[in-house]
Amino acid sequence: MTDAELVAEVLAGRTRSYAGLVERYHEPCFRFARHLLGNSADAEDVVQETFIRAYRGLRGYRERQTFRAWLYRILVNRCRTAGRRRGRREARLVSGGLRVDAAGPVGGADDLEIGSLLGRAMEGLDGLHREAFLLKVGEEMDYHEIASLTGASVPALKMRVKRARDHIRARWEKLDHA
Amino acid sequence: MPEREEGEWLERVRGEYRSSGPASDASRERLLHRLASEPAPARASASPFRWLGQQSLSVQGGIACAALLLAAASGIGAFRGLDLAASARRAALAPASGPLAAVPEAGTVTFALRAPQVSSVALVGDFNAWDPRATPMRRQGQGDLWTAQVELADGLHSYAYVIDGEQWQPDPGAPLSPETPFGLRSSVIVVGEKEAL
Repeated sequence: MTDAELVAEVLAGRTRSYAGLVERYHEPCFRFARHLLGNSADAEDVVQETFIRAYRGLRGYRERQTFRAWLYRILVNRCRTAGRRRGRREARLVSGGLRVDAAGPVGGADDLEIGSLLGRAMEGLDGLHREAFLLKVGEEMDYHEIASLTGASVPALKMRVKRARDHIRARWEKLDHA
Repeated sequence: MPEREEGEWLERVRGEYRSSGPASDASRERLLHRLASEPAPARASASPFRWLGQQSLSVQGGIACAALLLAAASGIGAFRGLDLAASARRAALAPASGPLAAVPEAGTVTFALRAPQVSSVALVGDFNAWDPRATPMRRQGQGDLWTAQVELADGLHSYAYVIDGEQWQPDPGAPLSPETPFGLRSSVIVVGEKEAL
């Protein structure tokens, strides 16, 4: 069954069909959010909110956009909000005299538990660049799809992906040889 | 940089990206429990029995609900502040006390679970957004009794236990909720019987 058919089932009252969409996209959404936010707990919260918002707003979904793009648009917005919230929280900690790690994607602690080469290579990269790189390279979306869900222009996205790629590749080489 | 080498590097990046640790089953289960309390997107008004799920309001569902409420109301002693949610993880876990499932008025409710050979237990329910991080249970001494206290308002509450961060389990010592639209079942406790009934 296609995504659009599952959505139609849910809207027709067969709400259990939404579990099919959760099954299909929960894992990719979590993977994306964890790499973007660098933190599993934040990623889980963001993914929960994403699916709940999508469920509440399912009547607003239109088939001219793929369900995946529509869902990721919510996900990206939730991640940005979570990043801003964390930035404010940590700014308060700094003003209180406590030390925080400023290497993360939004100026916060980057505890990417996956400890992968990719996780370490992304350290120091800001949220917008991570976002563009992960959507393009990790999720293999095309630029127009990414533009539709981030609100950025295609040229701007290409630039972000290139800069992110340069940053990651340089650190990757260094870490790989260490 | 040669195109081929760039392509190989990008493949390695994708490989790392995809092989990172998966989302836990507990996370998916939490989501489905939370979704079950949401109104169905196609309907404009919310049901007063939202926790049952929109599709459970069939005649059969209604009968099951009534039976469940009666069973809960006639539970063997319902005392505020006493252990009331004794559980067992099917064979391995044992009830901490008798199967009680109702308390007469809102306030602090203590849940207790006897769970040998586990390293953590969390209480989850509609009162904490089914979040396993919200209400960790405490082991009593060196034994196998785990307890947690929560403030519950009047009404029906669904809950479950999460064992070792992964295994979700309803309370076999308490009435089970009807299956949600997403195929899950949890336990039910009634707080403030008069209001609930």
